[in-house]
Amino acid sequence: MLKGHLDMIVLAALAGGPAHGYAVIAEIRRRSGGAFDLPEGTVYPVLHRLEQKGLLGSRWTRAETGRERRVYSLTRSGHRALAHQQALWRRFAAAIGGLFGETADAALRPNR
Amino acid sequence: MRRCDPIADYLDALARALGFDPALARRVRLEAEDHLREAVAQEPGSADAERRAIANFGDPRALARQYAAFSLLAQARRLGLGAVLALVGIFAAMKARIAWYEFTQWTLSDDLKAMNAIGVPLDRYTFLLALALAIIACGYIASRRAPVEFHGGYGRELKRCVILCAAAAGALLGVVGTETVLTGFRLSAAEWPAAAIPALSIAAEIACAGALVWQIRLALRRAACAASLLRG
Repeated sequence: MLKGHLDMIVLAALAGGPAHGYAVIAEIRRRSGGAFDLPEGTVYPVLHRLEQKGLLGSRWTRAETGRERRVYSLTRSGHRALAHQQALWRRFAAAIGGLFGETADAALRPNR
Repeated sequence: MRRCDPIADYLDALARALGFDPALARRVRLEAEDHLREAVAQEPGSADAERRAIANFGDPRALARQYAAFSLLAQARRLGLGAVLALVGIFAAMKARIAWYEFTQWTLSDDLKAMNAIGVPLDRYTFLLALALAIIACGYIASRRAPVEFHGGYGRELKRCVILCAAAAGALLGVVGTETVLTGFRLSAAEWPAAAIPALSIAAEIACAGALVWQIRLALRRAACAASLLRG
């Protein structure tokens, strides 16, 4: 199930600002409370694919250690795609919440 | 003696698995190295940090299959574009040569007129066939969507893209072959300054068709490399 939402997860992790791959993975782990503990390498093909789709931009920088580091950031299309996916997800979560007998408000509460 | 560096060995394996796209392999290698060294740096003093970082990163062939899904589609799109550009280039060279013949009021012997009566329609229909095949190839390529991971069925779809482009290239080679023969006969009786433009136009056509064939050969080699990720 997680695989089908990786694009949205990665876009959301980059919503806070530009970051390199390792930081994106750390952010996903932190914001999901450790629930999304992916094989770390799988995030990189997603970053490349999203960049190819024009949802992310990237550039090489040099880390303090002297290593080359690729930093990714959301493009304008990326921000739009994330907003669209967030809206879809909230509707979906509210509908599932309804099916489980929760109110739509309760399903949306974590986002407030 | 070679120094034992599990991260370097892992990166070599990853770059080998990404052999279907050398530019991507170089970039991924740099990114993966940064990631792995960073992960190790987060666990100072841990003897097992390198092994754990590598294990957490994932199997190189499984990662390569994820990259192959979109990288090969991008390559197929470039191939489709290459087929269209080759067609446009050959058409432009053909038109330039005809314009030159008209400008210089080039006259043909009766033998050459008889040869052209067969060669020119053959050339035209072969070109139209190449055009139709290139349009079908581009339509097919444009309708493909990359899955999350490269798999056998998707590999067959990509092979179909290459086959369609190869069929268009085959027809284009027929066009270039016919035109080379017709122009060769025409130029055999001509003087060189006047023959320079037709000779250059034929050279341009051969270059366009050759570039497309080279691109197809590369696409086949890369597809075979990606297919090897599904074995074993």
